[in-house]
Amino acid sequence: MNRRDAVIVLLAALLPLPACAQGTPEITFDLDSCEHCRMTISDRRYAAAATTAGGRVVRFDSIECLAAWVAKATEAPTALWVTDAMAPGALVALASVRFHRGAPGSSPMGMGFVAVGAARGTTPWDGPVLRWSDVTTAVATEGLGGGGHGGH
Amino acid sequence: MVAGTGDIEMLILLALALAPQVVLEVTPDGPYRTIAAAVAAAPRSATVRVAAGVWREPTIEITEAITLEGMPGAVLDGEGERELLVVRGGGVIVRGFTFRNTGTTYSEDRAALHVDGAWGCLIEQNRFEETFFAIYLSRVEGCTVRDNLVVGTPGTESATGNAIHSWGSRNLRIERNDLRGHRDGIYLEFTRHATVHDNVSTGHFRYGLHFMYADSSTYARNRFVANGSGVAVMYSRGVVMHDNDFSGNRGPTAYGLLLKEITDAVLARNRFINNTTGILADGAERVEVRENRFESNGWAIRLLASTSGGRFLANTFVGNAFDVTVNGRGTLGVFKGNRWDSYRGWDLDADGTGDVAHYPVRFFALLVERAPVAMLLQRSLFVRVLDAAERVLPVLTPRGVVDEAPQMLRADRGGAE
Repeated sequence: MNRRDAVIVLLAALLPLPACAQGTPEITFDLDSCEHCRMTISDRRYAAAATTAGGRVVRFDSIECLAAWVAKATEAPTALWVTDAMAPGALVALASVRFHRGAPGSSPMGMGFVAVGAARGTTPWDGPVLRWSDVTTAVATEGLGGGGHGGH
Repeated sequence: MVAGTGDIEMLILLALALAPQVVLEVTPDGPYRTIAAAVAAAPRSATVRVAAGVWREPTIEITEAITLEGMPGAVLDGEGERELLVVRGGGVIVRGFTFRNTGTTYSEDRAALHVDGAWGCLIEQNRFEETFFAIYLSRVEGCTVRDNLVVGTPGTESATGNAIHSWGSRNLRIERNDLRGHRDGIYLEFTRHATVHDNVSTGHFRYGLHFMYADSSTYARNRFVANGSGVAVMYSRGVVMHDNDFSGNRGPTAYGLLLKEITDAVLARNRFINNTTGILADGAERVEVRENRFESNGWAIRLLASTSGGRFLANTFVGNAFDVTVNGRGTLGVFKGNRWDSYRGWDLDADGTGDVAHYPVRFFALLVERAPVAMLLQRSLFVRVLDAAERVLPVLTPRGVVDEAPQMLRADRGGAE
């Protein structure tokens, strides 16, 4: 292993160190991975996060992964964050959005859940407005990937 | 005389072969001046042949079983704002075009070539440049995508879709494509019975290959090289991956192959070379890993405790910082007949099998798995002493993983087979 490799492995080793949970969490796209499904977080429209009582920030590639993690979380979350899909790339407080269910397969885990700012007008995802509890219920009852089975 | 089913099929084939081939030519001077006009006029089985030149038209839609063929130099240009071609219906062939410049969008999965609800299509010998998604297959049955070149837009990072994307499809063949510079090279979701072979997928921002809920599919002789996070395969059953290259995937969360919730899979004769982690198995059940080569990886194989029933047979481990790590002391699978360059045993009866068992999980590896920051000590005197102590006091070595029949590496120690 040369010096460069050693540095990479060192970085890999250091990555899981707890992050400081102050303010709105940030996501390093194409580098951070989802706490629940391990996918590298890439699609900026769907990223989510939670902060925990222990000061940890956990990051997710999709709203449905956040919901699945919350259902089984061993650390109590103190705040939940999602992305306003009309302003991709930055997290906002969960209380500031409404949810819709887009086409199956459209979100990273396939269920199609998307968040948009509660005050926004027409969006490409318009349809019935869902609450966070609707999302968690759907994830609990259908399981991750439940939205995709309507396909071929 | 009553004709059998086979006779009728033969008659139909004969009729098709003898039918006059209808060719509609699209050139700037006619007879057709736009591709859309020719497509609209084309009867079933006709060929629409498009001359060289840059064609800028509203999104073209094909619903009839025709062949759309670009002559050398035929370019479809989306001017940064639209999908170029949508295929619906059965038996469509698209070949020979350069698809260019769809523009990027967050509000839709815009693709240069979108195949939707179609069956039996053939997409071949096309080139895709600066497209958000290049080829997007949704609810497709029995299509083949082969010999295409897909080149991403340099420097766009996350503002790109996937090179070949499939959702809700069955019986696909994806072969001999050259895919570069998208989010994922090949992404299959809710897609069953796919055959993916002889593709090159490199330089993608996330995964060279990614699939979820994609059962009963085979991946062979592909090269997944230098992708941001490597390859991730998830939530699928009955997957076979053989003779692939997973190499050069370096980064803190990059894996040659991430197995997440994979059941009843076979990984055979693949090469995992120069990755941060060769294979990470999380929630993998009954995965058979045999005759693969793991060389110059940080970790060759990492097994999380959620993994069970694995069989690791006749693999070769050379030059890895860690051959196997586990995040617990449980028994996660069977290791047998592997070649380990870290094996310090002997073979007095010269039958090729080591006379003493090999325990590939180093004590230090267990420390690192529990406290990653311990990696700081990797090159330290402390770890050298620890390794020496393990040799003198084997009781220190974790016993959860054992190869009872390690094979001897050849005398050149290079592990060549």
